[in-house]
Amino acid sequence: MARVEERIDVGFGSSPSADVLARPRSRGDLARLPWASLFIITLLILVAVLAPLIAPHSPTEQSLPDKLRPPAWQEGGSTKHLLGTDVLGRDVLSRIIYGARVSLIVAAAALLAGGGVGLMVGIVSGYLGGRVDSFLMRVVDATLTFPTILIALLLAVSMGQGLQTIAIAITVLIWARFARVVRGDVLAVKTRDFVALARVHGCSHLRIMAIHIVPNVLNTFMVLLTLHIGFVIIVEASLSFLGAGIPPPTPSWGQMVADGRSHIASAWWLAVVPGAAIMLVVLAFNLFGDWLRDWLDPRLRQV
Amino acid sequence: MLESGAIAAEPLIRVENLTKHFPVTRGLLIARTTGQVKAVDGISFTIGRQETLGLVGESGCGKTTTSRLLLRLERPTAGRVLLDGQDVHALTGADLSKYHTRVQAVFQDPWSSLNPRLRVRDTIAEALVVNRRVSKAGRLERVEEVLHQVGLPLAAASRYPHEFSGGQRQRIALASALASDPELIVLDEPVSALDVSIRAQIMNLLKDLQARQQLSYLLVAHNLATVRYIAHRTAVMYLGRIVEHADTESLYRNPLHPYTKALFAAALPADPDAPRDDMILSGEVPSPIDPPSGTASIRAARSPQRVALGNLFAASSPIALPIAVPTSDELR
Amino acid sequence: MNAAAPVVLEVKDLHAYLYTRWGVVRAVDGVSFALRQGETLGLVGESGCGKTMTGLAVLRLLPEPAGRIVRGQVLLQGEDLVTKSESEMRRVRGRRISMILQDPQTSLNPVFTIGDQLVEALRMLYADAAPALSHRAEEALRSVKVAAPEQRMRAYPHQMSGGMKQRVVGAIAVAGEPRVLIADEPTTALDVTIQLQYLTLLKEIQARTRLAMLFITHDFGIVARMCDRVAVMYAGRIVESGPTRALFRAPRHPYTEALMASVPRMEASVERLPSIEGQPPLLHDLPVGCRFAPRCRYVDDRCRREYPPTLPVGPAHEAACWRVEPSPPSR
Repeated sequence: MARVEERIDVGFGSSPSADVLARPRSRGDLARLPWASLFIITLLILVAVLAPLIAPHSPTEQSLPDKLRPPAWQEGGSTKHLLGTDVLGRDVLSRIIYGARVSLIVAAAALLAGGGVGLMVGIVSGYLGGRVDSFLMRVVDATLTFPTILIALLLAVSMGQGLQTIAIAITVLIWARFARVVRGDVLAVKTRDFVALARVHGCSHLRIMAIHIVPNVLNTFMVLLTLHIGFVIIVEASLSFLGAGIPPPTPSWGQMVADGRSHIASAWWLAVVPGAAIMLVVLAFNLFGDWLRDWLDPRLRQV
Repeated sequence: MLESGAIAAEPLIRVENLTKHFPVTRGLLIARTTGQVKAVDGISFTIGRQETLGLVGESGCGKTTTSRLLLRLERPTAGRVLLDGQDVHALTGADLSKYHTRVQAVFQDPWSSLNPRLRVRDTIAEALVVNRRVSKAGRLERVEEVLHQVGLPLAAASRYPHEFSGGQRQRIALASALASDPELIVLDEPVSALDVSIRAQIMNLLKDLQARQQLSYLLVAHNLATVRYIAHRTAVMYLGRIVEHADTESLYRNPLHPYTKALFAAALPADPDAPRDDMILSGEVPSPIDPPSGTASIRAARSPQRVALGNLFAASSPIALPIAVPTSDELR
Repeated sequence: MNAAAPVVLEVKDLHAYLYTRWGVVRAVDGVSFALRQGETLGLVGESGCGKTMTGLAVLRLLPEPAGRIVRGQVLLQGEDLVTKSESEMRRVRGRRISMILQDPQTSLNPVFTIGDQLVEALRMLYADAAPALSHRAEEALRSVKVAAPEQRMRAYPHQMSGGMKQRVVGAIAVAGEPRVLIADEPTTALDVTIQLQYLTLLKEIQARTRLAMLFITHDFGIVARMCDRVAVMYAGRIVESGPTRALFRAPRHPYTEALMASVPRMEASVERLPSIEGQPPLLHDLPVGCRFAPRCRYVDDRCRREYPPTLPVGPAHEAACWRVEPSPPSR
């Protein structure tokens, strides 16, 4: 039926007489960026990439005479080891810096793999519908009911510890979440007229999925990716904490927290410093993800 | 009086006994079919070259499903759609590609008809990209040509849909339908989501294009005035069937079927002094899942109009009408 | 329509603006009209002209925080609604002045039954206990010609057709026996035969209760059938207003004339439909002078320089155009 919409179009776009209210280029947007989150994220990436250049010591170099030194600002500390040393005399700061690499690599690998798989399953399932959809969604449901850590532990035990194992374990855990959300988005996009028109133009299903569906669900997908980084880092840290993650001596924040647990009363910095690092990074990514979702959302409604 | 262009021996489109039933299912785990939605229930019509057929009716009457059947967006349960004598639902390969270049569509909602992620030129050129081997330069040339035909500036090609108003978007949608040089464009409520003053612009554009090119239209609409302005012939649909079918002028001057009359009466003329001979249909528009078996009732509010159906009508009592209504052809 | 009927709603020089990041949108830019008891005033215009915003402004329902009434008065039986507090407005809405909207889908809450929603609305108005409220709800349904109301009370919105939903919405709106009803395109989403039923129903309710209606629409057919008087809006202002018959027979503002000419008629066949070139102006960047000037076929220099005053063109009929021959106002 005819629906005449009274649109005060606070729209995009610079076409002069197109919208009732055409939006001029706005400078106000720059002020709204989440500067704190971006700062921490950039810092993380720089630290991870430049680790060999900025770490004061080797992360695995032991120095027993220097063991259990407190951070520089405390009594007994020195500027040689700004954040103190651990039970084997290894520099905490350097281990934190190298640990950033581990966190980042695992997060990236797992997200890309898990996200990629999830995206494809979501698109195929949502677009094709019918039995394919029912089947895939049941697999998704089953996956989502797995107890996370338990599965990761099982995988670690059967495949052995290592970066690869963790990446695979996390992928297996994550893909289902992406699949479900992406499928929801696809169902909404599928009903829009341009998809039907693409079929009228003669497009194959593959072309429609690639050119019409994927670009229109990317927004949601990207937000989901950012919001899951924190989750993935924590999973890796938990696995390492439980001893099923990255094997020593490669420093991992989770492993460091585990090691520091027994010394928490006397050498608090061993657990607190890596713990704080995890918390900061996860928080930064979550805030960034929130901002991204808000920034993308009202625009989505305009189109 | 609108006169359709030269009609060739075989009409461009011939629809024979077209039927589409949708199963109604119940149950979460095991779906059982409990009924049928008889969306389209055995209709037949033709569309000639350079001719517009208007398809009018209210929601649930089956006109949108009919248009989708013509566009191969649905498969018929029974019956055929013939384009130049060929069954469109049996086409494959190169014939199918050809079909896609010959039959195009414009839909109602300008806000959802364009992919927001694609530039205007990519949307317009899509049918060419998919169906024909046209060089990039050739495509660009064609895009510019159709933009000109629909009255949009060439600069529009490199922009995104959100930069345009509703009326402009419908022009883009029309350009995208024209790109492959089609012979039939299915127009499903092309102007009802647009502002009143823009509707006239688009309707004039449609008429001009038809006159200049060998274009036929299937115009699906609920607004009777729009149909009268553009269509050479009009068919009225109700519950999946065509209840009256005639050339537009005859239909509008002298509607025969009671449903058509009720529909016309319900369409309020923009004239405060128009006689109010209301034929108010009581009750809801029946659902095509469960069409009333036997009779539909129409109650004449005031002086009933005398109809060639003879004694079926009485002054002020409910009129029982067999649902298998004689078409206006049978009435004459 | 009875000229002696008392005025129930009077809007005087209403200005409602939206303050956005991209500028001030002057959605309602100096609108005045009066509504008498038992009378229906049509507010006509295209999208973006400000007619919906006018309706919302009257009820103080402008989108916050961007929307604000900047100037003007809205006198409901003499009381200015603009100066009332929000809690006072809550007592006014639904009880003394009510509104029904275009989309029946979103006007009703999908997770509650019709009965629940009616009862909830009635609870605001009457201090009765639950069984009595239920009974009132059934009566309300009966008054809008819903068959078998006792059963319908237990139905959910998705189980009803659009027309039925609009009736329920209508029942909720008139439950409090308001003096004024604002209807914003209530039949646009309905089938044509259902629309006729609904409009007839509204007329009956109006006849029974002497309700004053502000009918916002873009459809001239509805205006011709339903409205005693019409006001045509363009770019935030009323450009012409007068009795329906007078306006249809002889529109005096070029926009009204062009708009009516561009609407196809089903009563007559025409070769060519005149259309209005161009687009309405941007509401945050309005031209000085007449706002229709860029698209007007009679435009001259004066139109571009100065916004025309509203001049009388007939009994209770006025238009804001320089071309108009002011005729002596006769009342």
